[in-house]
Amino acid sequence: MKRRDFIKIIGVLYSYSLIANGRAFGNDVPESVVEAVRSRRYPGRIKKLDFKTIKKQGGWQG
Amino acid sequence: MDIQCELCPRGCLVKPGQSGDCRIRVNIDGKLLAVTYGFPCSLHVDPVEKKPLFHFMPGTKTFSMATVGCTMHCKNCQNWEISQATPNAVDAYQVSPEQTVQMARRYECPSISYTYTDPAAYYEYALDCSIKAKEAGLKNILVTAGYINRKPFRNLCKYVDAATIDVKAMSDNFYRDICGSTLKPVLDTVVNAKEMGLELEVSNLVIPTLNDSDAMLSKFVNWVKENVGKETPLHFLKFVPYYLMRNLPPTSEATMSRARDIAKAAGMEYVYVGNILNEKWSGTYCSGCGEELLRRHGQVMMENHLSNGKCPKCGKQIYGVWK
Repeated sequence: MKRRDFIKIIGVLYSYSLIANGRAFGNDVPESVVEAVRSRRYPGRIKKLDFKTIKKQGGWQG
Repeated sequence: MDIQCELCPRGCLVKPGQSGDCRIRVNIDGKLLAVTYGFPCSLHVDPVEKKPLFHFMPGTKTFSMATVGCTMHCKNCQNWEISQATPNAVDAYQVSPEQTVQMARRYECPSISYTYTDPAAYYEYALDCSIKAKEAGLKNILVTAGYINRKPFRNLCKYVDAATIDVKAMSDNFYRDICGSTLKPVLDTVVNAKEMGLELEVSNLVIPTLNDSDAMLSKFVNWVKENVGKETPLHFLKFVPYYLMRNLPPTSEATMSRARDIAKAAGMEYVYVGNILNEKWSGTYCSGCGEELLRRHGQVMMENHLSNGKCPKCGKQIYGVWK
């Protein structure tokens, strides 16, 4: 068997496996997201609202 | 599965369990979650002039907020302890968009400012707060470095009334070396803000040896004039050594004066100098007759002589939102 034929057989088998698994070629493309899901849990610690501190000016604008 | 984030031009491909470069958006169970949503790390009441915003409701207070994270990595960031941190390392309040509006009212603030870090990064939270604030009759202000894609920015602008956008330098090399980002998206954001009808002011932090040359300053001023108009208030801000740029000296008064002169010579109507106490440099003067309209001492408005947004002497309509 020539190398060319071997590669063709591999390609056909790979394509068949994709179809057999119900996967379209487009399934390998990552999903694009502009707006994220609003999380309800914070990974860090929650601090108590300190109304005296909040009333004061903040630091630098950045 | 990986998720392609399209919020900012960085376009992070976020792998499962990992966050984007901003550290706010995390890929969990195939969904991109904004993990600082509803969890601001900073809440304060500031004078609106501090943003800096000189032509928008002068003399009023603005309820100012931020979450951890940012779309940039500026080496001179004055808020690096929150902008460059990860959420799990910084304590935060728990405040829903509805509660944000209630708090703004509690502190008698007619506006809410999304600031300190960058609302471009905590986009969803800024968006929802803006919507609630608008419904409640409050104004919304963005203080941003502008590194955000067109579509989400223009969507956010629908609910926003004013913006101060920081153009750090008219140099892509500067943006790549100092900020870890690029220039063009920022300039596009400035134009988009104008097109969306926001009261727009532009700031520029003048840093010795990096962006303080006559050529750079002229390029910046001329770009603003040609793309968003000579009436756009310009704020030149004095650099103070911070974070990873402590090797440079603070900007001299002479340099700040030079920047101001370049802008005035180019025909910009309202030019201010910040982080320096100089009433002449922080006052608003009529671009028609030169009459003093607003006198400020630093960030505190001392006198307002405007008459329905017009010069009391010559009657010229002054750019801004005055009530």
